[in-house]
Amino acid sequence: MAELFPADFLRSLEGLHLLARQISRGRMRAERRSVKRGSGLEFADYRAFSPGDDIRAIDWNVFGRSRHLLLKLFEEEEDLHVHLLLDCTASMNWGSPAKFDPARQIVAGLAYLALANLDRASINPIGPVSPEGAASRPWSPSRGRAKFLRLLRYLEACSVDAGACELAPAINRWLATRPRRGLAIWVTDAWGTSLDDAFLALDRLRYARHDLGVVQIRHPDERVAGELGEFEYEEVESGETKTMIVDRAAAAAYAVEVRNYEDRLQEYCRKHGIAFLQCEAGESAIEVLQRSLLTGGFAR
Amino acid sequence: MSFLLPMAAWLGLLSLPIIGFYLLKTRQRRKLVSTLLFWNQLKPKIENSPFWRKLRRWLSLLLQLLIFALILLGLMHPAFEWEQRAPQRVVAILDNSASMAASRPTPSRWQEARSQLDATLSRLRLADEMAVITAENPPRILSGWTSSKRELRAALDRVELLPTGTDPRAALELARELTALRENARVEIFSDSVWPLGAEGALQPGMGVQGVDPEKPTNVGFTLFAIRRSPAAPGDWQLDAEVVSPTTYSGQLELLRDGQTFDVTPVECQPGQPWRKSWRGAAEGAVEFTARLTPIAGDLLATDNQASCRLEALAPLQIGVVGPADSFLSAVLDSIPLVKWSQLDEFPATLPPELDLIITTGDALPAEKPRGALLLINPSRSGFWGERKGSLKEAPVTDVSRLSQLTRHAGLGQVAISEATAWTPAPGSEVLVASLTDPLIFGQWDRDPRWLVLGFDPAQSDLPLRTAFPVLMSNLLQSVRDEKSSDQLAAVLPGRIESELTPLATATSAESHGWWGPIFPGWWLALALGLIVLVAEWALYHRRITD
Repeated sequence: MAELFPADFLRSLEGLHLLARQISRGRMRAERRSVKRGSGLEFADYRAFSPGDDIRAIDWNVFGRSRHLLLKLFEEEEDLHVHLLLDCTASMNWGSPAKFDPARQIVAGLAYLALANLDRASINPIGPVSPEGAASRPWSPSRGRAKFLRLLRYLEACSVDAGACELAPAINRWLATRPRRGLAIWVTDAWGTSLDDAFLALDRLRYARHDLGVVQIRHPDERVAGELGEFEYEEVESGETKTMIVDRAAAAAYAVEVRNYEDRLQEYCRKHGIAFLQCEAGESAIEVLQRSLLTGGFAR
Repeated sequence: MSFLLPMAAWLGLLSLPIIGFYLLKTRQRRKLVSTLLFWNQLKPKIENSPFWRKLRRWLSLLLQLLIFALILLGLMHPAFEWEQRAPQRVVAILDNSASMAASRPTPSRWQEARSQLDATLSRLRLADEMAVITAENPPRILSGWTSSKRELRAALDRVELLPTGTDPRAALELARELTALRENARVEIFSDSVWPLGAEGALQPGMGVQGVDPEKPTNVGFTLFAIRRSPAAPGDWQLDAEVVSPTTYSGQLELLRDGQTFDVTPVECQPGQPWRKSWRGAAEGAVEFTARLTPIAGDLLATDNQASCRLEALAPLQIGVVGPADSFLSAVLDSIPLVKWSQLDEFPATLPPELDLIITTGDALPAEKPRGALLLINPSRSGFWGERKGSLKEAPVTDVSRLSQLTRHAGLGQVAISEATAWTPAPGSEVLVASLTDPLIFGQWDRDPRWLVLGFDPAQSDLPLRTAFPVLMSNLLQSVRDEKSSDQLAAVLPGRIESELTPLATATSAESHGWWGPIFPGWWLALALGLIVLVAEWALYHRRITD
């Protein structure tokens, strides 16, 4: 665990928590109140008394002045569910450094912020169907910092699952578990089986009425074609191969394709109010988390 | 074709690692990527034609093996048919006579001969040798036996056309001697064969002549344009011109004197019948004549259409008189124009170079033959001129040489001599005037050093009183003057043979090797081919990567 989550990383998380509190005090007050009326302390509204209502909520002062039985309504505060969706496809384990390690660190940081804020955090591996894989078992929603250590052990045990994985069905499988509506943050490289795969997955999440955030982890070698020549490219997830003769024109076209895809993803998120953050595999997770706080949408 | 180093074929085994390395190099490299999402969007044209891709790979290997094979071929030293023959030796005779400047209109015969010689030179193989000589007389060896083409070309660059004709017989003889020194040697003559009559007889079987113009020549030109002073009168001159043409010519000659038109005269000339004309005049100063012929259509040789010669100014003769003054002699010397004389006290030990003639009388005699002309009048003792035997009384002039220029028109036969000296002339001397068997005037005047003895005292005869004395002295001085100013009076012209441009030999074709281009060694050709294939392979490899 010391390798993936070193001590200074854990110390930095506490600093992030303080930063998150400062930010939430300034701009995020009452954003998380439930629409349900209940037994909270904050007055919300009046309504006419009807039989069966709790008579303790009757505003007797109003009754004394106007002889009307009005019931005081209070807002009911509830826990926020933060669903951290960790991309466990094989493509996350490609390159050096692999994207999966910083992805787990970012998930750990976001989980810490949620737990420290007394929210319920869950971790859900998104990957191919693999009943035996440990990563297939989600970390069920938990609350309180005391769970953080176990959460780290869980993350450390997480691994990528070999095999081809379509993102939209994988998201569907998670949604089929009927998670409580909340904040869903997807840490992924967003490489699907097709150009529309990732966008279909995000559509599914939107339709489930979750607040969404996307952290896209990229590797610098993925954005360029690399060495020129004749190669047989093998995809790490599916094992599918493709023979290509790469000249300068092909390399340039490849870079354009990658850039267009990323621009399209960014534009999609902007259009649908999805918090979006891009980071590099070699980037410090703490810096990414700081940027996520400043960007907004990843912690409340 | 055979190979001089067939053992090099074992190096062909190196082709196996070439094939191995090539297969290793062209094996498709596998590259693991996180996604094919973007590669699937690209459609390179080569992907659509795997057959061409494979074909180009094999073609590339084939080219590489071909390069290797050609290098191997070069190492094996292939010898083609022309290289297998025995080494060739060629003596090239290059005619640089004036007629080689003839052109119709370009290139000239000279340029054609040079081109043919260059072609022969370029066909030389490594073991072949060539020597180049000119057709001059005596012949000039431009290059001895050598295989170095560079050396031969440098030697050819040094040779220039002559303004006159040449006789190739000496060159042909020299070439024959040179070929006798080498095996398998032959003579090739690069000439238009415009030679003196009979020169073609020096051609031997196997001697090929290249460059003979088979067409009938058309030309007109001066064969003589010369000026000379009159031997009688120092200032008079005579200009002679001769024009020949191998065809009927009718034109005109324009004569310029110092750039000004002096005469224009029609010229009619028939083949084999030269046209001649002379002009006379007088001039003590320098004068230059230039003559131009109206050229005819198709005139081949331009160098003989114009001629010029220069008559130098007459310089006064410097005469030194040694001995007692003689009034008759002084009067005669004063009377002859363009003569400066001075009286010397004694015979100089070293003759001043400005003196053209020394006249000595009596006892002032030289110990040995002086360098210049010397006239001894009645020498008092014996010397290199002859032995004094005694005296003669009443010596009549009985014999006068009619062939000598000195006694011409002098009328010495009428001279009466009361007393003379009997002489035995030095061996080799010529007696010009004699009295019976005794020489009166004798000497050596036809070659240097020139000396003449007047074997009697003029005062003891009536010679000073006769016109014979000034005529004799005038003839003597004129001969000295002729000797002094006889250079460069004739224009340098190609000559009658060259101007008539009549070839004497028939042309022979150059020996053919069955190959028109330059002959290179086999290894050189293999190397060049390898280089070409290498460029093709580079282009193919380049396309394979960047297509």
